[in-house]
Amino acid sequence: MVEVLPSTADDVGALSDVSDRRAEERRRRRWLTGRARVALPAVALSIAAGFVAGLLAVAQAFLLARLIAGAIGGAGVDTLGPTAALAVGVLVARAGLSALSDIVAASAASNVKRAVRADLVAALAHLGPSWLKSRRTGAVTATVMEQVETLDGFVARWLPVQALATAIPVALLVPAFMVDAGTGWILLAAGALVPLAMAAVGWRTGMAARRQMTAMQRMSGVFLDRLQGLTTLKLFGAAERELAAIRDVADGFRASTMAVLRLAFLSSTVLEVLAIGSLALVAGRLASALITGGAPGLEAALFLLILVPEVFLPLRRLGVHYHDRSAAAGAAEGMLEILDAAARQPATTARHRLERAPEVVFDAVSLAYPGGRRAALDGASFRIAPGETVALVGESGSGKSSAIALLMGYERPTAGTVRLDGAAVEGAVARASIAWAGQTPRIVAGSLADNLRLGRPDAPDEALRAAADACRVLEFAERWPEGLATIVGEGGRGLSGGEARRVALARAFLRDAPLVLLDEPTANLDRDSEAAVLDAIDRLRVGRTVLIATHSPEVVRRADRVIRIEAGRVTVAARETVAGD
Amino acid sequence: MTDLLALLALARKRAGWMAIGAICSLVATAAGIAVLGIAGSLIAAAATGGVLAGLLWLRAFAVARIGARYLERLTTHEATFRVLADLRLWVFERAIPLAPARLGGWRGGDLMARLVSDIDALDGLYIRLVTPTVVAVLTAVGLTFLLGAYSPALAAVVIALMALAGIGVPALAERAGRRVGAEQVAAGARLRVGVVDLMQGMADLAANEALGRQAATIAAAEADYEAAQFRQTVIASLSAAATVVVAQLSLVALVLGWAALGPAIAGGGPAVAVAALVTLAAFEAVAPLPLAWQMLGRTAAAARRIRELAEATPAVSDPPAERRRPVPPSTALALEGVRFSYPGSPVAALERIDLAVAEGGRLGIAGPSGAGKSTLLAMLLRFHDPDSGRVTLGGVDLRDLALADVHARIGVLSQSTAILAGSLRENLAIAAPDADDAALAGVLERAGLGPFLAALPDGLDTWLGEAGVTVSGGEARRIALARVLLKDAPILLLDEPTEGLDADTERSVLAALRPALAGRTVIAISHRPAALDAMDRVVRIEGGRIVEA
Repeated sequence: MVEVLPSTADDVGALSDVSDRRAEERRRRRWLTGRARVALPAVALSIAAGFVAGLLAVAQAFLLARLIAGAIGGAGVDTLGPTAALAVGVLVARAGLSALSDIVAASAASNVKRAVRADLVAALAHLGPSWLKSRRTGAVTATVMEQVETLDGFVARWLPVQALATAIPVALLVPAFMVDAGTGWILLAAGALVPLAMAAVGWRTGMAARRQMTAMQRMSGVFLDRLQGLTTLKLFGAAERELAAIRDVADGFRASTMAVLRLAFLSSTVLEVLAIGSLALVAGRLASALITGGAPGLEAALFLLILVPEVFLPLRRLGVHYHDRSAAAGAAEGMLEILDAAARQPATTARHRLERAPEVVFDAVSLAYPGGRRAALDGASFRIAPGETVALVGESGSGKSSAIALLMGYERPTAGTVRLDGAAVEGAVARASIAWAGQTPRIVAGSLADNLRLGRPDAPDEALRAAADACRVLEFAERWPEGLATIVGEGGRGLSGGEARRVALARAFLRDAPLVLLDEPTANLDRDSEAAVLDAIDRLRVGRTVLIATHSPEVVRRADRVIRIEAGRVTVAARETVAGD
Repeated sequence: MTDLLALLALARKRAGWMAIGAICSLVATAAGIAVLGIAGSLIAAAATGGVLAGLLWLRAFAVARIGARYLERLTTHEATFRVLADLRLWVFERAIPLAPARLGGWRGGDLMARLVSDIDALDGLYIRLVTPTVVAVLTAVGLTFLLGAYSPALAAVVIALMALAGIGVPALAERAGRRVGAEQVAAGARLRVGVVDLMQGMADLAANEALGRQAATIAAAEADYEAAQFRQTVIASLSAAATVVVAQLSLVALVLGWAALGPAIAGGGPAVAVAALVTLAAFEAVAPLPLAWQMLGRTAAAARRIRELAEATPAVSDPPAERRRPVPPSTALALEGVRFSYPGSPVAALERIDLAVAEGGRLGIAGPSGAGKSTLLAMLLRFHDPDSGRVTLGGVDLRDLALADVHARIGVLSQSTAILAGSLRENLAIAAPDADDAALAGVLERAGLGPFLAALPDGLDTWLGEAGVTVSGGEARRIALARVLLKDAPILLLDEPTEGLDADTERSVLAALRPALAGRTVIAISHRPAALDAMDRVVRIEGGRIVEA
């Protein structure tokens, strides 16, 4: 008995695994359809235009058959003229309607993509830095860029094509049956085979599309990471060795793309076989009917021959665009992962900006990162009085940055509470009242002035210059020909680590908030610059609560009080001098 | 155009695949024409009560057409995606010598756009443009002969209409698509940069309540991107409609012309069925051209961006073979009368720098932030060449040595060392790919990371960096130290090796470093005196000049 149990349990596990996967698959499809709902009126219009264009094929086939039959019969230009004029009118109308159908569908898809990208960006913003830590930037970028792009195929092509693939062939069967029942039956039989043929190919496309999406994310992730570490790799002579990894991911992406395309080509080939096979059957049947002089006659035979490809045209497009649907379903996984994670994270609304320097209390706060080696904070308690300037010291990795991340609401305590003026800090609530400068600031693409104004877009020029001066930003910026107007960040001038930190500090100065959190503000500064920055901080701290994570003895000397953290616990919360001073 | 030709030349390696694809495409088109031609002759025969011949051929050509079309798609796509994978590798390879001097402000988002979406945009060049254009031209030639056999005048009319569909419409589409395509590529890159900025700058943006503004920046780039893409669809739909109209018009014109010329044509009335259906089939060959030529603008813009990166001149390059010198045994380093200013900067970053360190010597360089200390190290690593003066290793000008040889002699410990997304083992292996686990554990121990390694859930296989275990600043510095120890180079450059570390950690990192200094030539820069304790001599630079030797 006992020996049987595990395998039974495994079987049950495997079964529920499969049904879980199916349920997931259904959920992704439902989500896709739901997202497409806003585009429904436009898609309906596109389908209507496409349908009328499809119906016009009947008129077109009728007129062309009459023209060719007339010419075969030796009719003159004056007899055929009016028919020809009518045929031209119909074909222009038909081409116009097809174009309209495509254009309307594209605009619908555009709206869906923009809405989904906006939701993804909002979700990422809501999730914040903590969630991103466990993700690769390149992979998430691929989700926002390439995976959202698959919605284009889904909305603009798959949805209309799917509707038209049934509607047009069924509509065209009516005249086919009316003219020649035998032809009608041939087309009906071939049409009935389409779903079977598609199902045979289709069940594998979902998996292949998901693999392709994973390969795409992997490629983007590796590229971004290796490009950003290129100098390090180069110094170790390892850049060339990394080419093998680059080749690997690039090849993996190619192989998975081809796997998807092979299936797509297979499905469209199957449909082509059906289309040409029925054409051959119909042609054979009509030719022998003509020879024996039986119904339906030359003009009708030509009409049917021209009509048969039109019956299969929407079906062939279905074959071509079937993978658009699988691609979107595969991509939905990546998009939903972000949206779901954001939905799970409770919403917080920014509280009113505090007017005066607040009190900060850590009450037995613990913080453990998922998969982390040990708790970053382990029952840390301290209090900072309003208006106090406190230096937070401790070995690197002891939990200083975690304490600041908790106040910012980037992380949530696993136990205990962080309070600001008595109210628990959760999520973004406190940010309106905080000015913050981190250790590895990001310089966003734009001018240096824009970067300084990040926390206060309407800051006047004088305030901007004053902050830039106080934080020694002007010192390097004034050496540049364009000064504060210089374009920095991506595609612009690169800043060194030390320069970026000074920018972050100036941002915090400009922000003018009652609580100031600074993470290593004087790192990378020589003693003179440090003194100048500290003088500036001395002016800033008046009337504000200031918490500075630091290793600098000078910062500690100037602080009102020192809090020391060791291995996540507060060991000293009083005035002291740090070792080495 | 030169951009496209240059990238086309890169596809030479896959020319075999491309040729097979083109042949398949030609076979498919010809078989398609044959199918409809035979069908037409069947109708003509039936109409005149003749004998039904060629039913077997009809089936054979139908099968050939389907098979050839399938093979064409497989081979052209396989070839194209192989070329794109080659291109990705090529571009990355070309980016290596550009780092760090020429990669400048590119922080990854824009580079990634070039490697991912710009290269993807080139698929049109290979799949949609070259093969279909060749096939369309050959088809037109064939059709001229075929129709010419019936009536040269009608052939001329049909070919003129075919030229309208195959040259006129594509030319208009190309014109319309040129600016839109360039906009699409530019807006796409801006969109990607915005997204990467959002993610890598999340903490800064959130703290400054600027997330909404960044979202607006992204939305603006996306609006441009989507607008360009929509305009592309409009152009594509209209030119596709124009092609269809012209194709059908030529059919109508042919039939009317036939009716006018009537009995003058060989084969008489019934042959019109053959001519009409063949014409219809032949127009299939020009149908893909408008879209292909419309996308040329986008493809060209993408190609330009790829070449901009791949063909940028590196700030420094290896000497030509005849000037290249072997690496000297001596590890003495010297800067002689070096002056350097960054491109576009009016101010010299270094001026009249004369410095020398003998083999085994230890030189400390002190000075305020921005004095030129890091630039000086960059000169020693030959990230840049001096505007005047020279930098030597063992008395040999760095410009006469292979870059890889120079870097192989130098270990660098700096605050900006990257932790790659990968296992701890992979992160160490960049310094010594063949080191075994015992050696890796050994250097981790020496770098003070023994307890760190012991606490890792998967030991050396633990994933670090993005999406991995977060390492603290001190741990990252020690990993960098472990790499330097593994590399075991005779020269050590220390760039603020303890910046951002607390006093205790600084002391222990320096203690771990000290044994490694023995017997090596060392240059250290720092604005912190503690870091320069172990140096024989300390010079001070300010404003790019030595002020105190």
